[in-house]
Amino acid sequence: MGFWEIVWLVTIVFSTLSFTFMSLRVLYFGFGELKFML
Amino acid sequence: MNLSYIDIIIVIIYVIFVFFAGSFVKKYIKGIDDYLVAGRSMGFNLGLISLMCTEIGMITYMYYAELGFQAGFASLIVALPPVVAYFFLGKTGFIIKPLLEMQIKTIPEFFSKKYSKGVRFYIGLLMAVGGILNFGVFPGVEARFINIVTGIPNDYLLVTMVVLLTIVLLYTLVGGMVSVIVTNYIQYAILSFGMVFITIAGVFAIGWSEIVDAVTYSMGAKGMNPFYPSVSSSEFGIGFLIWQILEWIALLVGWQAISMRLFSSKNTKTGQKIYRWSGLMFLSRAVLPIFWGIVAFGYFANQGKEVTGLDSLPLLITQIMPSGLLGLIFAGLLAASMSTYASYLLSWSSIVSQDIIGSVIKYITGQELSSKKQLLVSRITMAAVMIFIIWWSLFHDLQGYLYFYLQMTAMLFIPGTLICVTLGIYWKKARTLGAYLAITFGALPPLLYLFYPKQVESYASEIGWGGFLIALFGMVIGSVIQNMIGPKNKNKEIA
Repeated sequence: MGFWEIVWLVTIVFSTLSFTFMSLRVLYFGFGELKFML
Repeated sequence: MNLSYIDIIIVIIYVIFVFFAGSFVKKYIKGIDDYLVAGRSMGFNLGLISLMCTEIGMITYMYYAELGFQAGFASLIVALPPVVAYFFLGKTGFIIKPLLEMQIKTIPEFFSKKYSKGVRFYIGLLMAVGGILNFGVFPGVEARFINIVTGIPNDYLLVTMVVLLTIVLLYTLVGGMVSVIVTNYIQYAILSFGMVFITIAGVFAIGWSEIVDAVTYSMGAKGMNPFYPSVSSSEFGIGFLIWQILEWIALLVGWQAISMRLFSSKNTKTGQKIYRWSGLMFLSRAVLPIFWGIVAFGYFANQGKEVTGLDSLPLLITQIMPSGLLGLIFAGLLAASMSTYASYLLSWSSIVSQDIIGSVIKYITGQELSSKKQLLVSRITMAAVMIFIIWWSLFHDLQGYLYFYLQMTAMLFIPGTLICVTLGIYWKKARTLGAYLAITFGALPPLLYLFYPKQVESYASEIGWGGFLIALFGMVIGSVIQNMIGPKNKNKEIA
């Protein structure tokens, strides 16, 4: 594996995982906010 | 037709559900503040969802995937500038903190507070032109995407887009920002699932090492290293990064669809927090679709198939999605687009109604319209914007990278906005003449690109950062001249 291949692999894995967890988090807490707003 | 009956039923249920969810909030809209900024009641999580929904559309997937398909892994560097811009503004509060404390609804409002009503009208006009020209290519480009994914024949595409846009227009028209926030929640749930699923399905369809091999075999070192042959001379080198970081900072301040989220947040702290965390989310917003484009490149290179950059992603989706799931993924794509349309319709029509029509009416009659009349003008403007973008997408022939067209339409007002807002807040000698010159000078380089895209495409980065440089020059020269010959600065001091 070359330097750039490792950089991009880490970037893609990190992006996918952080997007998944952040999405679940904002949807969970956002539901409470939505109910409160309405 | 690529969609099975189950797929079609899933899509129809989703569209009906969103329409009713968006429409039932009509009773809560009492005035222009409820309509445009949801009464400034938006919390952190809803704010983040709403911002992501606005700035992720089918078109976002397409221009990023096109970059990945054409330039390989090296184009992933494009994901860095928005992250830097969001973290910087969210952490320091630079520019956005004073703006939030002013409690404005649109950025041009700042211009009338700091400079003059004429400057507000001028920047509002450029924002409306740049924003609506940017928005105008969405239906045409996305119709092509829908055509490939669903197999709906070309003859019915216009009807499909008009029906979709009309549904969005109806619920946004009645419920404004409140309906946008409610529908965004549903849309984000389905959109985020789709994004993660396409990424995983893409890797499983072809395999990581196959993708890397295809890129290095076809593109060489340039496909992996964004700074090849050198940091100063590569396509994604230092000039490109400086332009993009400047542009993203400016977009986060002056792009109405984004800053509207900022102005809707319930306090300054929430606004800054939304921006800080958006940095992380915007990394994925770029990395995942660019990666899909790279996967598509590897997939079709292995098959020896010739496809274009813009067609690569929808073709890949039809090939790798198991049947039965295509409906859910397509609903996710529709969710991404419908939420973007709703926000963009609201954003650009609010600039036209508040800053252009509102300014003219106030100039003629000497007083502002009542909140109810502002609401009516806003709704009529929104319908007019929708009719225009359908017309524009039918007649405009897109040349060059879609990514650069979208960037350059924004650049019509972005350099002038950033310079005027930053110096307006932090430089006490900024004057009205400087603002006029900064806005005018900043708009000149992107005009060159919009009229001659093929001839100047290789100078896109220079046009990009050059716009900011001459806008700064215009502001300094204009302000110095006015301070020398004009009366003492009566402009309101902001900071």
